[in-house]
Amino acid sequence: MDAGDAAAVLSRARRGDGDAFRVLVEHHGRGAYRLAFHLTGNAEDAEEVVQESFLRAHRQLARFEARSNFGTWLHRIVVNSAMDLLRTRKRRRHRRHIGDVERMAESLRASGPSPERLARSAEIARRVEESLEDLSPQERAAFTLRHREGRSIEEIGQTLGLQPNAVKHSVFRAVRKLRAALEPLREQVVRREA
Amino acid sequence: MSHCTDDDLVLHYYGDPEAPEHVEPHLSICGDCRERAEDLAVTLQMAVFPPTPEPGEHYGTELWNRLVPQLGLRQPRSLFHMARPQALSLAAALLLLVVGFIAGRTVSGPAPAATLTAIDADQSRRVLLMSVADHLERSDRVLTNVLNASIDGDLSSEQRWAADLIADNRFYRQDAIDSGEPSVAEVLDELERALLDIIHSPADATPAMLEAIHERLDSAALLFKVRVLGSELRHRQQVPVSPSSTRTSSRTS
Repeated sequence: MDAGDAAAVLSRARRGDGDAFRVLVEHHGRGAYRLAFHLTGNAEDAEEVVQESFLRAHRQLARFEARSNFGTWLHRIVVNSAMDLLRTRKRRRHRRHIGDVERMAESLRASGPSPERLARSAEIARRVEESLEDLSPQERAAFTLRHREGRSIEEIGQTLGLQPNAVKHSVFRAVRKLRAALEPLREQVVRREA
Repeated sequence: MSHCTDDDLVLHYYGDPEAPEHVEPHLSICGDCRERAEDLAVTLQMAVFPPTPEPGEHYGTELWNRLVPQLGLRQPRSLFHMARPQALSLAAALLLLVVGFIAGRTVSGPAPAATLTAIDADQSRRVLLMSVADHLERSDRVLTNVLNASIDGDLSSEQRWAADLIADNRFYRQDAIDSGEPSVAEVLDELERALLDIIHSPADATPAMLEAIHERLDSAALLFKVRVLGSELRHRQQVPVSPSSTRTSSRTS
């Protein structure tokens, strides 16, 4: 969809044209899902976040400034929906991460690493997941957007509605927690690679 | 000499423009800070995450179908909620087909009512076949345009055209399934994928992208299938229902 088409579709969607909104859902759905998965860490929550995000987008379309980029706007909605969900879903997550670790182990098994490496990777994944659980939703979102999505501090600030310094401190706190969780395993990795 | 803080090293690791300017030159002369930077890099590189499941090709459509009831919009495949006159005439045609089918199975012997039903059903069938054949002809033109697009061609008008066709295509495909026409449904399914492929390609596709689209269309022989099916449907549209076939239907009940 080029800029002209996107503007026309958006204009129709803002006037309540369901078919136009459908085009937006079909065009942006997959990207929204990937982002939601990165932020929440599991498929079930990601799906919920994506649906909630498009519902919010539909409700707020009239307030959307036509000059802005719909993808950027939706990105912000997905991040905020994910943060809202993370705030309310802490208890559900413990049992989930076991499944995620198993899925990662299965993925690694398919690539054929040694049993030791497999066990170590599973342990790392478990610790990463646990340390992410300890982060506040804001820290987790800031870290994910910086570490996994490669977004700049400025972009993250615009998405989360924070000053750059606040974003940096969220990332710093997340990195400190992650380092503390992974420090014991880091020695093993360094020894094996030496 | 002032050493780097951990926070400086985090910004430096991510290549952030806000990393203090002194970090890079300092790391080249300070072994302690360089070692800390390397430790940080090892730790952050260890931070692996579960693989992201890649949403399927039709994820957007599936998502839309889940959203429709919550948005309070009309169901895209609901025959009687489609506002297009074409859809309404098709709905009427389908209704007549069903009525004709039921009447044909319940009325025994060639009676005047059964003959009327047969005529109505025949007309309905013709409307349906004509609609699908017209749809295939329009799709043929889009596919032909895409296949003939020059190497630096702009696909935006074909994409708009394909987007206009996609809803009808879904409608006809579902209808073909419901009407027990699997071969028609199969071609329409392939056509839907090709239309989506065109819609989701960049409007200013690079020569390589355009070539890839051409290859996918060629390998599926889709244009050929669309033309053959269109021709077949137009032929079937011209063949009348004979009284004997009505009697045959009646006897089988």
